[in-house]
Amino acid sequence: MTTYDLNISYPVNNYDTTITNTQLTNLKNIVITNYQNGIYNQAINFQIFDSIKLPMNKDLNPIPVGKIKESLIPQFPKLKLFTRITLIINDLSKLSNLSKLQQCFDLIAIQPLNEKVFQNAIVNLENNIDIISIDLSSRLNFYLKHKVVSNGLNKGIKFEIQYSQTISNYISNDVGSNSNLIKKNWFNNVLQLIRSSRSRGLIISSGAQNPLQIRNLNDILILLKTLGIKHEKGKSFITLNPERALINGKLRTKSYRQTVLQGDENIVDDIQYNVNERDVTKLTNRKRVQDSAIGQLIKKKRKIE
Amino acid sequence: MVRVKHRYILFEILYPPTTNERVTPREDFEAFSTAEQNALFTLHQRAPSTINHKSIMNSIRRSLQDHYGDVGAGSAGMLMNLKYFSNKTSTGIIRCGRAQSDTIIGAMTLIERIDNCYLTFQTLHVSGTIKKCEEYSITRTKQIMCRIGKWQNEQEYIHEFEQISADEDEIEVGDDDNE
Repeated sequence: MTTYDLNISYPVNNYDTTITNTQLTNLKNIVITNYQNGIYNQAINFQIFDSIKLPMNKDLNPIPVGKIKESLIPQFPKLKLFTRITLIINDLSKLSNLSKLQQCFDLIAIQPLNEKVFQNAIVNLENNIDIISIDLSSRLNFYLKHKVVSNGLNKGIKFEIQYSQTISNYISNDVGSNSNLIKKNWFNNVLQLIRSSRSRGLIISSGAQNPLQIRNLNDILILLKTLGIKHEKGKSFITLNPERALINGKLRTKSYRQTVLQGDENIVDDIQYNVNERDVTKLTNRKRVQDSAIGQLIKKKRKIE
Repeated sequence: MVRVKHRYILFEILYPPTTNERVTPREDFEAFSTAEQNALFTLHQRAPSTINHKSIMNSIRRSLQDHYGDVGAGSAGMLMNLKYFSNKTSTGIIRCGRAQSDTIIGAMTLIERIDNCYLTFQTLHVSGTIKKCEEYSITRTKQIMCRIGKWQNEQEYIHEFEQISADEDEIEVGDDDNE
């Protein structure tokens, strides 16, 4: 099954500065390290604070996806890249230009900093956001209520677990006590998320800033298994849920109220594109014996006996 | 009488490129994303001599102690031992108690370096017998060789490999067990 990584952090987080060459190569290296681990569908994440004003006459999407795709896809043909924006929100009233952003990005995520924003986002922004990403590295200043979270889940919002925060960065290695605290907070917050969502609708993503933070997703699932998630349920965190979030995001711009789509575009195939021949044969092999004519006869015979 | 059951973990060490010039040479950093061969060569490097049985075991034990405390280190770390590690292919096999295999994989995931070498651990296979681990390791190495080389599929590669080995009398396959 196709696996996804919906968060590769873009090194620049404002509209004024542009990406340097070293940063761009580093970004490509992250994508390729992920690719070699078998994750072909990835999203690059642009992260801004709500206080930053959107430029009027510039492209709202600063990520040079076209350029990156051009240079990578001839060598790595299975790669699929998407773009995502994460808004770090302190005050919901400042947020007005969501509809503009929706045109430019495939996915829209928010990171609430307090409980008021968290609740309001779930109630008011249901159709406008795909992912809620909670900062897992610091101690949460509010309690994740099951009622609120499950309300969001019913509306199709997914919650994100970023694993790169547990893997302490080699640059900040000298502050030992601090990185220990981050890890403790991470484990605590992940347990809170699992409890409040009853392990439904969660997404595992990397959030990596350099290739060293990339891990095999199965290893991360085993790490979460030691925290009490069942492996079968965990499987959907890396396959089904991110796919749903992506389809949701794609449908927003291209369909009427995310239900009816005009034209002959096939969005699902566009996203999970590698249903190759081998998978198709596997599906046909799975045909049950009872479906065939002989099988039905045998079944009848057994019943009579 | 019930025998003690074990798990064998087949793992691999990868060396992703870093922005630090002292760790990764500039050319490797630039060339990594230009071709699949380059990426594979950088990731599946030969392990330096500082990475050996002792340093790997030490780093896993330290990570167990850091993340799972005395309980984890005591229950999982005591039974664990490294059965095999090859510096040429940077793959190895760990034997551990059956109930504690998850804890050990979790601790291995959180390692980011050994001494001054930045690396990531990746678990490839977990099995009840060492034979299955070895078989899986061989098939995986073949797959990677196919991707690096000019061979289109496994059969072609095996065919050519057999021809080469027929020419030479003796060919060294893998490393000796250092036990």
